[in-house]
Amino acid sequence: MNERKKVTPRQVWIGKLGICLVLLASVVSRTFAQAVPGATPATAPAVSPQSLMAAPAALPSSPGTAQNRRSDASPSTVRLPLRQLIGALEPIYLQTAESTYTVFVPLSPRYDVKSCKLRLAFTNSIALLTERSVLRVVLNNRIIGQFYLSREQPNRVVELEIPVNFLQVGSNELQFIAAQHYTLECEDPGSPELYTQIMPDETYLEAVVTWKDVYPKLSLLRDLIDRKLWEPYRFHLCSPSGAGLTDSQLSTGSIVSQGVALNLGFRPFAVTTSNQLVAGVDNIVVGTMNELTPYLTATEVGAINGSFIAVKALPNDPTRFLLIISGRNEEEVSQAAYAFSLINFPLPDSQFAQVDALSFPQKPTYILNAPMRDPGIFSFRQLGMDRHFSVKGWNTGTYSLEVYMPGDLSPLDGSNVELRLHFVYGAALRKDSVANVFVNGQFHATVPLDNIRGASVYGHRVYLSLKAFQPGRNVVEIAPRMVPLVTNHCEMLQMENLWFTLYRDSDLVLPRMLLQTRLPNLKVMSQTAFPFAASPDGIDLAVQVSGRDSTSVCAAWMLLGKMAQISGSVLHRTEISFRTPMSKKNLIVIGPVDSLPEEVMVKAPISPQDIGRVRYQMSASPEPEATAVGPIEEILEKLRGEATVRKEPEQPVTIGMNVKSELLDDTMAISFENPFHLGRLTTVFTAADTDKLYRGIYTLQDRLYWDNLTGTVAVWNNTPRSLQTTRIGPEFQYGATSLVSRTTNKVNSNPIVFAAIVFGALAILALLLRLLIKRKPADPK
Amino acid sequence: MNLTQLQDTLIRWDQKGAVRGIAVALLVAAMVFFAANVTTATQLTIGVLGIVILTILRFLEKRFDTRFFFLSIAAFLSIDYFFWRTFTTLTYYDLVSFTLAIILYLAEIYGFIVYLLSIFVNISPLDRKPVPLPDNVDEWPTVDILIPTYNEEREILEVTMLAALAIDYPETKFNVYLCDDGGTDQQCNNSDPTKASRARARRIELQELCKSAGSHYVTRAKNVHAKAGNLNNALEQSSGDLILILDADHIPTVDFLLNTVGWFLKDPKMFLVQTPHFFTNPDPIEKNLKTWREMPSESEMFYKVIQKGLDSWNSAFFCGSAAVLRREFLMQVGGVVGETITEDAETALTLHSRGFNSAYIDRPMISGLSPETLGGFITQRIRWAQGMVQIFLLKNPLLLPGLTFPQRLCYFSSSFFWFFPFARLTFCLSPLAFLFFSLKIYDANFMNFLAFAVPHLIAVFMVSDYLFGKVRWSFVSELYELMQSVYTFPAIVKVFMNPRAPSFNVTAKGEILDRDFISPLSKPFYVLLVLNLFALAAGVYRMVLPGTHYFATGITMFWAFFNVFILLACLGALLERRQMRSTARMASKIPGTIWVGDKEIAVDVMDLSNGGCSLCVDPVYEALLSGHTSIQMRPDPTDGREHGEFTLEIRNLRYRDWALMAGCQFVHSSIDELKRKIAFVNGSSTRWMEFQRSREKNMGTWGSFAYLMSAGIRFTLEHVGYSILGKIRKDRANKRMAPSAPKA
Repeated sequence: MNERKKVTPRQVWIGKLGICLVLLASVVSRTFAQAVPGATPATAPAVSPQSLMAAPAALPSSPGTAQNRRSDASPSTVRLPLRQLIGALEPIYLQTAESTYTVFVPLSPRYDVKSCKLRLAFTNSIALLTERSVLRVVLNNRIIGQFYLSREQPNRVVELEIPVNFLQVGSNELQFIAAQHYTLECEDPGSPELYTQIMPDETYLEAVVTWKDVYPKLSLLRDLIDRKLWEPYRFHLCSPSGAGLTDSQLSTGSIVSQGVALNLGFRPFAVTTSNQLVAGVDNIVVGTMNELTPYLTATEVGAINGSFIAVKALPNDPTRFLLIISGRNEEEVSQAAYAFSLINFPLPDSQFAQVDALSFPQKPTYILNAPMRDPGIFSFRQLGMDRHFSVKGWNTGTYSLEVYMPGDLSPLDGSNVELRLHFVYGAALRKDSVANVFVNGQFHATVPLDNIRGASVYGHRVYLSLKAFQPGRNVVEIAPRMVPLVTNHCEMLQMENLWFTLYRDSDLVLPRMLLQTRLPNLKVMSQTAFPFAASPDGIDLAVQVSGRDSTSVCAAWMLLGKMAQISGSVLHRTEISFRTPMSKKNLIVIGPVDSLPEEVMVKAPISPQDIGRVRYQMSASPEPEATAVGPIEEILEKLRGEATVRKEPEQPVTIGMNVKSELLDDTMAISFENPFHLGRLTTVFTAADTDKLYRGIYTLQDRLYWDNLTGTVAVWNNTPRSLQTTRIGPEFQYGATSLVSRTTNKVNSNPIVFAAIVFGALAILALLLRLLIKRKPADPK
Repeated sequence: MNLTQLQDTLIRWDQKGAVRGIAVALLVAAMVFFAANVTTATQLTIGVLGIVILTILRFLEKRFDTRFFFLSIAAFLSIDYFFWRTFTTLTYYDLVSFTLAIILYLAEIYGFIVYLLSIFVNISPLDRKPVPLPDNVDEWPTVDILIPTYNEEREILEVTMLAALAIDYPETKFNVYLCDDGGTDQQCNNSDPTKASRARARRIELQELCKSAGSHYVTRAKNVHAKAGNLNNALEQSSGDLILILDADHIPTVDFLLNTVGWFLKDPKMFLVQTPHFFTNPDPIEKNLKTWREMPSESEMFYKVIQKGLDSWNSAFFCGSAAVLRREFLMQVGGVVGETITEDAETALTLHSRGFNSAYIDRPMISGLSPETLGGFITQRIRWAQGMVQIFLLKNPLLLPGLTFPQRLCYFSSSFFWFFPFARLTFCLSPLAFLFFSLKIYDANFMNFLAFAVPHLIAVFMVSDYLFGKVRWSFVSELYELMQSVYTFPAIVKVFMNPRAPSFNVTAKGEILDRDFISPLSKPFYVLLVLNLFALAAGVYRMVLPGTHYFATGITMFWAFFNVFILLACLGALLERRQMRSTARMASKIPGTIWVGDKEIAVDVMDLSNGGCSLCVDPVYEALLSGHTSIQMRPDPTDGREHGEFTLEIRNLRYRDWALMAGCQFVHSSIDELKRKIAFVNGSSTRWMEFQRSREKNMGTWGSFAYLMSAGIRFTLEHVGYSILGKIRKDRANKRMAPSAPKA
């Protein structure tokens, strides 16, 4: 319903950077213009942007040069499952007499669609009156198909050809609209018999496409690295060093991968690396000016006078691009990579640019999904509500507000988030009209819309327990449900008065939150990349790629790309190395089992060989989270200092079958306290070999896996699809929260104890005051 | 370490207020934390527990010293409320709402500051006892008794002067001076011949009175600096070590000097011993609501409680009369200071800032007269309000050098209190903003209001009852303050515009009202009452509308109802009752003997005034008494003093509760006899104390509410009835006066 559109310091900064780049590009262009014969003599070789456009002839003929062919000129078939669009496997329910479900179908400008069809699998109620119950499918406001919802044939799979000209590049609105009736007489429009289910796993769009030639301009990179592709995005990172990467190159590659990942939103991607260009995929070549000599012409090399970014069509395959990230030294290359990774700032409308210098604000606020940590008042406008939300009808819309909470949000925080809603609603609504408020899909409050004359309400307060919120993305939904005043049987219903408008100057008031959590917890990592991306620049994270081969490296890059997607920022200050980093940071180790460093794994609560413990789980009687059942016992317990923190709900108990088992095709994540630095976290990603690790990390990017990570150990596989998680090993408290936060939480968790302390303190104060100022009666001063 | 050692240690540490400073800083930090972080549920727990503890402490107060703890908790709940009020309820909705919200907030802040200062002042009141004088009379200081007068009647002055001359103190050690500002050269030479001749006659009359009584008549050339100038003139013409100042209507008891002078010998830095003002007639509100014999007087809250609290901080201040001052210190500041029109408080402030001490003895040793009419009452209060605001502006106690910190707070409390008209009028008009115009001037939801505001309000009532319950019934402050606010508010504004402009207006005393009438001050109260009644009606209308915010409307209606309740009491008080006696008969129970012819009969003196008394006589003597008009009466020396015989004239005989009561009038043939009579009638401070004690009863909040509500409704109905009847009478009179139309 809404998109987060921020006007943050980040954008301001990015805007400045963009301007800087545009200026530099124009300066370079002028330099080139000066180099044109007849103009002022120049020492640098004469190069123009056009010369880069004509680069195919200049591409290196060294080993690994791309094949000289149009790899995707022939049509290919791509498929887009509905589950991918809705991010869930649960069926879509269409209920009541008229019900609509809308999804937005992306379409990349890189595709040339030859044909397209929709395969639709649905099941309808057997109580429906066939001749009056219809499911229609609408694409961009055009009906592309309609079906009777037959009681005789409730389970159906149909295929619809979609005229190609109905599709538009960008976003397409696909609606499933069900008109459902069970009688010819007047009926209850909300009757429970009125339903149709659409199966998201079996419903998909399928298209035959060819890839268009790229139009290589930096400003178009956002469309080239495109989240609207129906297939996973793949790119090849070409590094002259090949597999023998240095730590610095490892880091640069990581930044580039994160840049690509960020531009893809939450879409998965695959990266490969070698010292050769690869046809059929987009290529990014990264290296110093000297290292890139084999790939560039002398003229092009001469144009590199600093951090340098350029784009051109891949030689011999104009449907793919070649992105060049370079500089005169590694520092400049790193800077260019970082400039590229901030891809959603406006790069210049040219084929290349030089980055002069990057400067960052002290407080890194330049992130997409920045969690709100500080207490205060946030307007809905600030949280991404770009216009007022207005709906008509009794069940026609819900406003969704995205709220990002910090990863260390304590589940024990008893404070309330307050909404101050400014809204109007129409007259002649029935008194039971309401606007329901949901948090993450769960009902939490109701706003009555019970003034028969309609009302303009300013600052209506709704209190939502902070416990309803989770770390990371939260969705607060406001769903007006308006009923006409006259709803007599078979009487004409007036619906034109059912209006509700929510203003964007409504506020969300965030309390001072208790920021303290217990780790390890893969769920927190999956929600917010916490604690690895607790700082948006990733300074608290060290990554060890224990397998030194290129496949492990690519797996690490994909994992960091996912982290960047979750945190919304490039972790450019992350320490990444093939060796074990000893700095006091949170640690990720990634590599095949046989490469994992022993000094790290010695503290792991489970060895990859003990995977059987994860596979074989059983349920046990739940242990109580707390034992004090009455207020007095609770007070006594707290006074004794026991059970001050209630235990987290446990995962199913695993049985200690010391069954030696192998990972086989599984990939595994184990999370535990850092063996070198207490209070820090280590998470190990491993698989039997590098290929399986690569596939496993690629699979993990899928929301079906990533979003369901939890516990301390996870094992997953793609074929067959499986994910098992468990909680093994000790927990530790993460995060040094402020004294105020800790005190606040303790106070609000134990009001009676706190009251006793307050009045006790007052008693002492009163005694002291009495001793100080009580004088003997009738004494002269 | 026992408590005494701990006390010594603390006092040592606290030499520069360090401990108190740290305690206050910690308290403020804790409150800020509270306001910012505590949830409503926690606050509700604190509020409920706080009120429960306060209630328990009230029950325990007779067995344990719970005063400090009680007041600390109450202060805590209120401070907590005000942090919440400040940080969460002032929301900007629109300019008008926000402006009114700020005005209401400032009014609340005023009340909050006064409330906290009140707790501070009264946290440990000092009940000071008289210090006995030494046996050697030669060591006793000499005293000049100054009675300033401007326009009071001779009869009033005669009584006061003779009572002063009757004071128990060696005759050689004191002199009485009548300081007449009504007979100055300036007055005698007034351009208006009538006024000039009246002034000259007054001067001659008073000179003769003083001569015959044995006192000194003092006057001056010009009436400059009003009362302060008058006193300073007398100071120049006298030389006693101490000065006793008595208002013209303040009749001293005989033990006045014996009970006060001792403190000057004990404390060489003592500059003032103040005593309470006790009134033998009801003020107009007491008179019109008929509360005088049941309810403690308005002034008692100040004289029975607050002055004792001020005294504990060495801040008891001079109230213009019934006080003894040390001449030496007074002359160091140039006599009575008269920059403002409340010269008394200003003088005390100046002397306190010089490091001198004051004392307050809670024993009524003068009996005075309250203003009889609301006009006189308001005139008096305007002067007090303007004078104290002048002090606030011209000699702000927070800035004046030389005062201790508690003294600053005490004087600040005394002067800041007089801004109550702003708060009262704001509270009276605020409900209209919401009920008429839906303006949001208090942004809170029900739960927050319940958690923060309700405990605070309950605590305020409990503290008020705890500190002042015996001497000030609930809601009486609201009544008196609202009565004054309408008229003192513009007067205060004038002071702000020109702080030196106000002039001293003498309060009329001893007026006689021969009929009931509606006070001309009533009109603004009609307007306020009608507005609040309409607001209540608007509230009812809102309640029946769908979608009403019931909580906000309900609370605001309750508020408007409270205003109506107070306004009804005001209207009841605005029907002025006739007052035939200038001095009230004060109850007494003095045994005595009368001689009727040769017959000696035992009697009880049941009430007394300067004019006469009532005697309770055995009914068997009715016939005997009926045959005589003149009798002799000798009261028993119950107060340890022999009063001698008095001649009485029987005016009437009547039965009261089966007892025969003889109404008598004093007859005196000599000034000595008159002096004895005055000493007998007014000379016993014990009688005044007993009278005050008889009115000291705590009605409780609901009892007080019911009492004032019934009085308010009853007398408001009389007020309305009187105004309607008055109009009918006027119409009839007009008709009678109009010429009859010629018949066709």
